[in-house]
Amino acid sequence: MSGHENFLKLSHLYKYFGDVKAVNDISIDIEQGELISFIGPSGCGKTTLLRIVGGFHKQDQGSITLDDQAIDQLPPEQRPTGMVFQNYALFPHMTVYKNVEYGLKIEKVDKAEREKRIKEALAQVQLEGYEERKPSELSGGQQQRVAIARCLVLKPKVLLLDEPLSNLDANLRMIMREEIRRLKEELNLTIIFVTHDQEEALSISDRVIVLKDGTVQQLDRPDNIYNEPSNEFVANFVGHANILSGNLAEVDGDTYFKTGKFSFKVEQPSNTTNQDVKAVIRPERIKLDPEGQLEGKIARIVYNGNFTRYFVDIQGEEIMVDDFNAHGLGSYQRNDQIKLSFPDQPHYILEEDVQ
Amino acid sequence: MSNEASRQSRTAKLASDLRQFWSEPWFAILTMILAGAILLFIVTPVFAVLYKSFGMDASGFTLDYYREFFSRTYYFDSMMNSLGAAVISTIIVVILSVSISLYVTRSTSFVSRFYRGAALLPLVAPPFIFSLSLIILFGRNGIVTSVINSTFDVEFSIYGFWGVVIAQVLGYFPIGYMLVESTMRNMNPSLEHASSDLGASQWKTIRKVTLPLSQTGITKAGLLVFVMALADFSNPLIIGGGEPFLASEAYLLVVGQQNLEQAAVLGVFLIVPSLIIFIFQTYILDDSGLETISGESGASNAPLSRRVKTVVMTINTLFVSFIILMFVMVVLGAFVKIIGINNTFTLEHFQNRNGWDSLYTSVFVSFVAAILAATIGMLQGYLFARKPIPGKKALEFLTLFGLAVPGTVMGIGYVLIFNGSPFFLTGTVLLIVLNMTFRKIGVGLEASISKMHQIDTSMEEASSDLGSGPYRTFGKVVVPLLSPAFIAGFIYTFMTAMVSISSVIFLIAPGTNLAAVYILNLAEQARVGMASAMSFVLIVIVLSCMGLLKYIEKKTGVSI
Repeated sequence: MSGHENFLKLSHLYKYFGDVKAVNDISIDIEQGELISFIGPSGCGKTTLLRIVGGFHKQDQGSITLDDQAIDQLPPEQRPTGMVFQNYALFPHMTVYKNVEYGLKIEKVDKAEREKRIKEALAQVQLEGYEERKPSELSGGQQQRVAIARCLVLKPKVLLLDEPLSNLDANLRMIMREEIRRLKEELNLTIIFVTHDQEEALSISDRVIVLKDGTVQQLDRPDNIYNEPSNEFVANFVGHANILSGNLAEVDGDTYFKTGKFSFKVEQPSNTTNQDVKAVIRPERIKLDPEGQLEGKIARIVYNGNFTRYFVDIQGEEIMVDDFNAHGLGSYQRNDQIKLSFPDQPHYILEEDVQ
Repeated sequence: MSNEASRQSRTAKLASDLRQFWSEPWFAILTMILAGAILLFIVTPVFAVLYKSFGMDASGFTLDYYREFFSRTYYFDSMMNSLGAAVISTIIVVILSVSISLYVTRSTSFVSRFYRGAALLPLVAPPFIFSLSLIILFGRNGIVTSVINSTFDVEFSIYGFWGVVIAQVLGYFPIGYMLVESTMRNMNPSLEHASSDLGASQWKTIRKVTLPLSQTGITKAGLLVFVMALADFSNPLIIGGGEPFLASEAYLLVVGQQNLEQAAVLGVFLIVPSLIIFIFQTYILDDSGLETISGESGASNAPLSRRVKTVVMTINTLFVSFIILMFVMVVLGAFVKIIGINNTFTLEHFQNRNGWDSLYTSVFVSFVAAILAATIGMLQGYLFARKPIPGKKALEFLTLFGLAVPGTVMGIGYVLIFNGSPFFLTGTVLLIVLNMTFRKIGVGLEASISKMHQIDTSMEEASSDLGSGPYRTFGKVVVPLLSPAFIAGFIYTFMTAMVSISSVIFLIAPGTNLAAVYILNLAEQARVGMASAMSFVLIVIVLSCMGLLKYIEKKTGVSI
């Protein structure tokens, strides 16, 4: 199933807009059949990078090869990439059929073959029977499908999706995530997926790239990005995190993580001997536990449906704790004194945080 | 050092722009042809007039013709008359526009739509049609005149300065009205609601909120009406009763005395105010801060209170009735023997070979000019909105400037340039078409540029992503999306070309007579019946063309 390793290879790409380094020395190797997400806050360079791959921006330095062919000097119309635009960019004056047919006609595919491939592409996105509709007569999700079919019909080597789900409502977003995932599996598509929604990226991707200020912060599997963020930025951008500054200390043969205000027992970490570190602890990893070793007072409560988030004051430090609402409403009140147990293997950030 | 750096980065940008410009050679070549045409057909004629006014090419530089202008009260009077009439008609048009807009923007009733339609009616008629009907009613032998004169024993007639003013108010009203109305329509109704919620009466709200917020729109409307009235050529000729006005006097100097130099001086005094106002509008008048509508607001303005409505509706009804009366007069004049004297029905005024010939020529010439102007406007709009063209701001300015140049000046300029070598185009249909086209391409350009700004560039990117080169993308994606702008440019150019006079009157020759010019000649000779009949046909043609386009709009779903 999986194709060759460096199917799409971005090497040392740079792009400046005036004095702004939108893309600053980015190198990524993407495997065939892989879905990789670019995430980051607005202005991080994710869309610029995608547009460089599609040929809509020209890189100032660096190279791109696709399937061992250099493509970085080609105009978009000669690149074997297919782009799904954020606003879909369906031609409003053409029917669904004509939209999908557009690229085939340019490739001078003969009529019978065109018909067959359009039918196939529309079937892949489950839009049979919509051939004669105009884009204005379709819902957002349907327009999205047409935009995808319009690319798929040309059998692109890479599919580029620029925040494709951002204009859809929440439920439809979930459905389209599944759809994209299904298409990717069925057709062994290589996909770059740009989004600012970290949850979306985690759920859809094989690998995720977190970008900030034009540089790669972390490139890894979704679970690793979440559980082992490489720095404070990634920890905060992907999900929510308690980030505690402190140091590791040995007391009576046990290891403790000590903040300025409190300490708790941890296992001796294998990956660090540093004294001063930051510990990243996700709020759902802290347990409300009558046997817990730390005591605190509930300062604020935010009810979220499936879980409740407590902001707990421990010696003047505020800690987020998420409690899964398995039995309906959360059971604590504001100002309750509670006990917490911390995980004994927090994730430690080693290097100096890049600010 | 930073200066040096910024100069370097500017040079680098220019170099990269130029590279990109030449990367699509056909577009580059088209742009250059366009630029050349704009210079030749818009800019050079204006400079030729300026050049001529100093007596250049005949006697060498001289200020004699300017001295003559200021010493002969006759020429100087023409300027004072033109300016005076333009100022007075502008003020009246603005007041009437506000009055009708206040009502029309707050009501969707049949009456409101009827008033709007009637207010826009003058658009489809030649600009001098009101002179014609004023003469029918108030001329020396007018229907009303004879009653007045026999009752009061006076020698009243409409000819003269005030006749011109009334004709201008009626003729240029729609232009001002459309601008004022759209400004008021674009105003967020919540602002008025807020004002009344805070305790202001409707009068107070209109004075303190509505009018201040419409100020820019009203100013624009006023300036536009002023420029058009200043350049008015036909009304002074028909109803001016021998009073000199700048444009008509310049024409008489060219045609009667072959005194092109003196005519050029008058042209300069026509163009200077127009140019100042054009620059003022383009660069100084800023309405960005007053765009008050934001997003969709379901609210609409409160209807007028009884007190306000009484005042506004009195003015509106009187004015609208007057417009309609004017049109009725022309229709009656066309179908009776001698209106007011022998009111028997007849079709004899329509049996006019020369008239029909000139109508045919007008339709043909206007159609070709409209196609050209709309096509050029669309192409230019696309290129200007998307391509890095060096000097494009200047070119855009010059294109729009074509709209602001008084027709008389353009006409004289065309005579000066294209009469002799190397062109020898005077009297040809081609020159008339070129003149009509290039005076109007600004409208198609504006429409296309604003349409281009609504079209997301991703549309063109999608096309190229799917394998299409730049020219195919233009043809298959951009052109269809720009079709509303094309149609807007076409309608505007066709309608204005059908009734335009001031510029083309210099360019016609026997055999290429145009309907509007022909009717003007009839009106000057007070041949009211024939003039009315031809005007009637002209109006019917223009109206049916608009009807046809509305029909196409409905059929194709292309909004115009």
